[in-house]
Amino acid sequence: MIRHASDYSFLAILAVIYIVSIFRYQSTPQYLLFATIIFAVLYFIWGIFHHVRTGSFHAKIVLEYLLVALLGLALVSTLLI
Amino acid sequence: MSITAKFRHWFTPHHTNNFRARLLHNSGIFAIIGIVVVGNVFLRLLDSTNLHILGFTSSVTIDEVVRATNEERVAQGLKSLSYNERLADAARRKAANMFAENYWAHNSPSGKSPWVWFKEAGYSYVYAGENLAKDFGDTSRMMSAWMASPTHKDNIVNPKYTEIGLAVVPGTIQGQETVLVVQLFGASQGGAVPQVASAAIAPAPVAIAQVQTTSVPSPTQPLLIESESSREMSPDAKQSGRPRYNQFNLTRALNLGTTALFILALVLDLLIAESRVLTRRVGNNWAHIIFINFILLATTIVNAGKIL
Repeated sequence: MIRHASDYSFLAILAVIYIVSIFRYQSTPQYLLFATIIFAVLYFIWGIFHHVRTGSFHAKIVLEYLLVALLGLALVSTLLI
Repeated sequence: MSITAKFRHWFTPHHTNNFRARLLHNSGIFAIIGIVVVGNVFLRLLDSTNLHILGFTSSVTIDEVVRATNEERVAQGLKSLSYNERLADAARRKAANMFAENYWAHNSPSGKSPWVWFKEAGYSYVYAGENLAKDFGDTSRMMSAWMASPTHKDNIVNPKYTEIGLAVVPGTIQGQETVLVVQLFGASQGGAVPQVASAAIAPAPVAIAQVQTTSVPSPTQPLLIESESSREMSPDAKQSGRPRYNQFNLTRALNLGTTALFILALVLDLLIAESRVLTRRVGNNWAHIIFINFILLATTIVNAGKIL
């Protein structure tokens, strides 16, 4: 059984909502950028909550989630801006 | 350090990297972001120079757009549109004017509406509409973008239209090399569509669909513009023989390549750490894999093109 299944389920739901909205509003670059920023911020927050819940919270992990979120933002924004 | 040792150091948990793939250390992730951002800046600089290494290439053809448009209409139970040379002439005039007056809009800076070009081409319409697109590398992406936009879709699957005309013209707008697509719809006064004099489809801010009941008697004049003279001709065919690369596609390839390395490190690190039951206080690789893969999926949906 997957540990912390509810955390992963929530992340998967966020990801699906993100991709559906990207597909729906693909003709509006400003919206795509906005949706990606929201997804990246929510992922960062998800990471913090997940590690607090699992008792593995550490400042270096916060930075890691921040960098991964920024990487995601950079991958999309370099195509949009 | 041998190549194998370097690979092990950068992609797998090992005692040399404190049992966490070096690429997944914060400095490693920062380096990946740096490659993406600096690479993108470099490609943009290369695109803005006069070296002509980068340019805009497109495989959009008139025949493909007509076929795709009619496929969408047939799927909705509507009749196919017939290709009208006068509408195509109007589309070429519109495209030429957009390059000449250097604008990306339905109305020109000098105040010319899209309907001016219908009149100049001698197309007397009952109903008329216009969709614009630029910077698309292929027809399917452009059609997807139009169909995802309610106002453009309204034009494509409007039962009132019976004819279509297109221009696919390479050129430069506002300093950017592009391929411009002007798609005009119409129902001529002699057509099969019954006239509905009082009906009006208000011009939308994005795609324009408008009803006119006036005849347009102005004669067709010879068109002296650089444009597609053949329906078979691709914009690529008009470009010189120099090898040219699309900045958007190169950026996408760079992003995909660097992200693939990051995902490889995440997967190998995860598998080896789980098989060896390593206890580490690090970020969740599964979560990173989910996040980055959905971001990658989004980058495949994102278009270089713009519609109006």
